Amino acid sequence: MYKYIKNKKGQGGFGMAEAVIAVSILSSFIIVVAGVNILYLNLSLGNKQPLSSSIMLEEAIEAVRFMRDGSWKDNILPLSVGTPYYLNYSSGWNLSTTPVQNGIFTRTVTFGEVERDVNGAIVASLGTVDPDTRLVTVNVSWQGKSGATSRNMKTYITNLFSN
Amino acid sequence: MFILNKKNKKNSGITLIETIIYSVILLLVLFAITTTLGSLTSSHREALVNRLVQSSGSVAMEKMMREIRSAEAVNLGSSSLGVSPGALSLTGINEQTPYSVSFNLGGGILQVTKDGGSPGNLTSSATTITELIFERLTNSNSEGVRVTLEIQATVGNKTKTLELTDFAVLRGSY
Repeated sequence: MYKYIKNKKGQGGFGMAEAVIAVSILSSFIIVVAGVNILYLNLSLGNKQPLSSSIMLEEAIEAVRFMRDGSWKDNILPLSVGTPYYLNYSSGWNLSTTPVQNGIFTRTVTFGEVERDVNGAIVASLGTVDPDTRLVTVNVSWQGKSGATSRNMKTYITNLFSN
Repeated sequence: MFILNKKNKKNSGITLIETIIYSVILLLVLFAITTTLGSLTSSHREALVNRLVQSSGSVAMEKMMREIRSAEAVNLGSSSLGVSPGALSLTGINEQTPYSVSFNLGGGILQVTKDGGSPGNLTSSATTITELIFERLTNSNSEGVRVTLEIQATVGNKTKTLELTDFAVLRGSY
């Protein structure tokens, strides 16, 4: 009889408390895995801005090229070196110092002087300033999930049509 | 008597209070799991809908910009400019052979047609182009085309709209 009782007691299986603890541990594991997955997805969703920002950079370079084609003397030469300009589209392209907000993006176009050596090669310093060449720097910045982010693109433009 | 009482107490099982506490804990755990899985499903849908609009938008814009840059001129007679849905027809020369390429909407999908052939889809059928505008700009030396593209996708209860604008100068117009 004693033996029987002892065996029965030994085969009693899990208690309610044990079951709750087991379920809680398993659930915590599932929640942590799912949470990491959600975090990853949210971070990857924050990656959508580079497409828009890349297109905006490219658009600005092309717009400056188009303005250069129109008239170097009227559209490019009067712009101050080192001053950030905002690109605006209203039936045509124009650059002004009045800030323009493109959705969450702020885009600036800055012109820099270009120096050349005696052979005509572009040099960083100690050269002669070439009035028919500008270094164009386009910067696109926005407030991302992980703070302020910016991208930029640089290119040289020249007075191709001597106009 | 004392022994009997002790034995009864040992076999008494769980009390009502314990049952309630365990039930509450289990319900909380169940709620946490349901909420987490709900968020996971929602995030997955958002990721999918974002991927759809971005991949289609990226491919469409890249293809149009590349063709615009390579082209010599805009065929004004075959283009619908400044309206949505617009159409753009370009002409150019590739290795001394003239060609034409056009972009237009067909059932909400951006299509490209080369040399009057069969149109090919540039955007996924899971997305819809809700706006397509082509604007032509000219100056004394070149011409350019500005493209405004609005693309939309829906997965479950998630809808994503992406608006892209880009501009390119026709290099062949130089």
